[in-house]
Amino acid sequence: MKKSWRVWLVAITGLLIVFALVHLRRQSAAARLPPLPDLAAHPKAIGEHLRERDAAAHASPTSASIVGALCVAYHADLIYDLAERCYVAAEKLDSSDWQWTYYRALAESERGSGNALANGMRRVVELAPDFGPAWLRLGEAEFKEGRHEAAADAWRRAQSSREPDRTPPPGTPIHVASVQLSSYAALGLARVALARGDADASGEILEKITSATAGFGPAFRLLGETYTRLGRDADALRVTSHADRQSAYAPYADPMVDRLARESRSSTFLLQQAAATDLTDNGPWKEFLLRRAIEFDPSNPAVVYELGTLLRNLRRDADALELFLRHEQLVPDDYQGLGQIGSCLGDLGRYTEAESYLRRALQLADDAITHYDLAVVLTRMGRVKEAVSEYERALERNPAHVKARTNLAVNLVNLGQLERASRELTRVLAIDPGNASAHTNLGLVFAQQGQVEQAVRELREALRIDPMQVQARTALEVLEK
Amino acid sequence: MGAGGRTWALDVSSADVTNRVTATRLSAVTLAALLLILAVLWLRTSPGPDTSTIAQDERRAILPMGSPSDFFTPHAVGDPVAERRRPEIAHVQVVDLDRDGLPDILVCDVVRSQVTWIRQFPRGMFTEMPVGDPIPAPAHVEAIDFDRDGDLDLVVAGLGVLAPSNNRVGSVVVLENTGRQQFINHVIADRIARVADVQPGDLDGDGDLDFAVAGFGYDAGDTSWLENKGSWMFEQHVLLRLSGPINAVVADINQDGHPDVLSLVSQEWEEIWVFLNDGRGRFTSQMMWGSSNPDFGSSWMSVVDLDRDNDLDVLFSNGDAFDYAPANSRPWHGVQWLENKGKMQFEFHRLADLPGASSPQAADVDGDGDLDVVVVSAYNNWDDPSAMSLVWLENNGQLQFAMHRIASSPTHLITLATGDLDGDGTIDLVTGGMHISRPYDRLSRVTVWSNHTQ
Repeated sequence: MKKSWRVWLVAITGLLIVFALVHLRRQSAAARLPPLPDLAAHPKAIGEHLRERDAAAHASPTSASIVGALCVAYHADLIYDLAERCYVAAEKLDSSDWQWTYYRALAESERGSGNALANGMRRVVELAPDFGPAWLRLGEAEFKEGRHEAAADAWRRAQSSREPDRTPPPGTPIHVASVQLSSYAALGLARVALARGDADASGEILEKITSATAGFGPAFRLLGETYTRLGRDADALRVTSHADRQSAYAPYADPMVDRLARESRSSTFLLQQAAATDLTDNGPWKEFLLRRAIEFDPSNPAVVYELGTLLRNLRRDADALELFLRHEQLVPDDYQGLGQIGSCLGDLGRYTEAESYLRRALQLADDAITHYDLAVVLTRMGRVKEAVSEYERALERNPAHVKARTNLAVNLVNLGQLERASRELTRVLAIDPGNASAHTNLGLVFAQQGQVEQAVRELREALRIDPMQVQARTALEVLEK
Repeated sequence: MGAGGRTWALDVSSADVTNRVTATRLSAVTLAALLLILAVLWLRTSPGPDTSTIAQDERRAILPMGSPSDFFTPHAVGDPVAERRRPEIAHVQVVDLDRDGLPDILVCDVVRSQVTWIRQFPRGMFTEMPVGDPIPAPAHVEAIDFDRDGDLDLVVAGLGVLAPSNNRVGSVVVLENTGRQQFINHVIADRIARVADVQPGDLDGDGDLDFAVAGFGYDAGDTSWLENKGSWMFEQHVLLRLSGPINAVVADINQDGHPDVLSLVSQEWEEIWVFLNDGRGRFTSQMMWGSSNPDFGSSWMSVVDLDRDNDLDVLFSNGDAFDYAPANSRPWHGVQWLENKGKMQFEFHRLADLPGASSPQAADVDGDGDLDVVVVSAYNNWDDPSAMSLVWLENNGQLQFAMHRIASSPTHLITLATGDLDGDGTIDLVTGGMHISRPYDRLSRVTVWSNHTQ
């Protein structure tokens, strides 16, 4: 009986110690969580978001996944100091889970630290050697640190990696990788080759990518540089001209960053991600991001404006108008907002209202874009002479406004001023020699003037730049007959 | 205690003495092992010393925010803000253009497509006048005696158009001073990528002045130099075909006696390049630093011996937010420097987090003998009336910096110059406003901030 009592004592003492240790562990883990910042300085949605994630993390401070979710919330809401500190805590709880290291490296590199990114990604690729985006980022970090050999090694690994899974959570759109991981990695390898002075190798790599991915502007641009170094100036001009017509550079669609975007309540972050998203392949993803931004920051006029602009680009003018009118309520005297309303109304055929809004915008700011928009509306109303005056005003304020000069030329043709129209189109081509439409228009003007030789030359040039110039082809066929 | 616990107790009580002793020993061993495991677990998660990361080390130069400074008094100088044309001042520079002993101000006014001269005469009175013929979207002006006739000429970087464009509308223009501050425009390069900066130096060692050029462009751009062939003829040599150069600075960074070119490249690259000169205009390129954040927003670079160890360091800011709306604060914006460690090795140090940071200038603002840093902000959260547009970073003498607010109004300050304008021995400031995004309620063109630290 006495022995049994001892056993009980040992067991109870042991359990007490276990409980104490568990409690201490929880306490020490909770102590490592960053304190909530002053949430009054943040939008309400961010405050609620962080409070919720923070409460969950304090309730389960030893759970790496729950603490990690808090870190992701800080990161996605752009509070870097706390995100970095939080990721360190999550990594301590589960050092085998590479995602916290990955995110910490990303957060640290945002403010200029290249070494932190390289170190973090080296650790990630040890833990997750099959995750291609980590190799891509490691290559980037090594290259920026001037370690070309290490960069090339990492990019080769990225090139041979599979595309990561990007299945979206239910109810959210997919973010398609318009350009594959392997193409970004190849672009990096071409940069290394060029940095080593090996333009031939760079050309070989880039010709492969560009033939496979016609929309990857940065690859065409780097190929242009490569051709220039190889003395192939005509080829350089051709591919650079193609690059000019592609979307601007966008970073690789990293699913880890997409997770941040889905988590974020920060309109700045959501707008950043939306800006980096191409419309052709990812319209729904872009709209999703902007609608999230409005949901969390409804009184931010910039967010309303951006969604309106997106809908304009998607030719959903009625929806866009609604948003621009909401923008006007938020910022009554913003000339850009008024200009957008006017332009929208013009596209909806409500010309009189459009003119009124555009003239209001011009009362506030005398800028080229609004004069241009007004000229477009006046042209549609058949007030060609007034339109010409507005195009001229736009060009006084911005002589390089190619569309204004092109439209001016078209209106001058309609007024029978062919000589001046050809001068304006020649000026357009001096600024933008790869503008196929301007070559077509100039060819047509020359044809009307009876200058067949010049007309044929311009139309051929238009078709050389853009074989899809139907008007140029038709006119050329007629002239050549 | 669950059923398992009771079963264990019954088992022990029903065994013989030896077994009971063994069981007790075993349970003690088990318990000890358990405790050991838990202790190890506990130790693994116990709060040890701070886990210092590389990024934290790089941020050690940032001291807590200091108190606001009220020893600068602002005065608008030059022409007033025009109705319906919001100011777009791209650059200001302090220079005694007429060499009358009173520092003046040079201005690049994008709205007017004009370089202007705000002449100080007599002391404390400023009068603005155009210099030379218009130049589309002038972005940077430097005063130099280009033709060596004893007066100051100007070299101007022309963007051609302020809005992003791949069109080759950039230019470099020398405004030749014909004496008495009358200027003739000489376009020495045009139809090139939009030019953000041009700075002079004898880059090929032939005794005349050449120019380093930052051809910002848009998706296409380059860093180049213009070789002076005489008789106002120049030949362009491309050093690097990357879009987005903001600055092209001429400085002997490796102290070999030859002027090198440093280029701060923004856009998606966010890199600083140096082109080491052999003295005859042959350059070897090297990347000095690069960010993997394609939205870093590099905005300005100065080359200065910040730590006063007799070599040149690089002070630079990232604060551009004109890439996507809203054009206001980004949490990664700030100021940093690359410490020259010799042998072309540079160490990155973050100095401050500041939304919209632009145009950092090193100057001894408080007269304590070390170099502080003054910075403006072009893109901040201006709907918050406390958002700062002008700050200084006080150097504690150990290259650690505490930020002090100087002003929150006017907003959208993109350019800053320093100099002793009032001749009182202290560093005054000049700022220029670039009002291309809302709100439009605190406008300024050119402002002088008189320093009253004495």
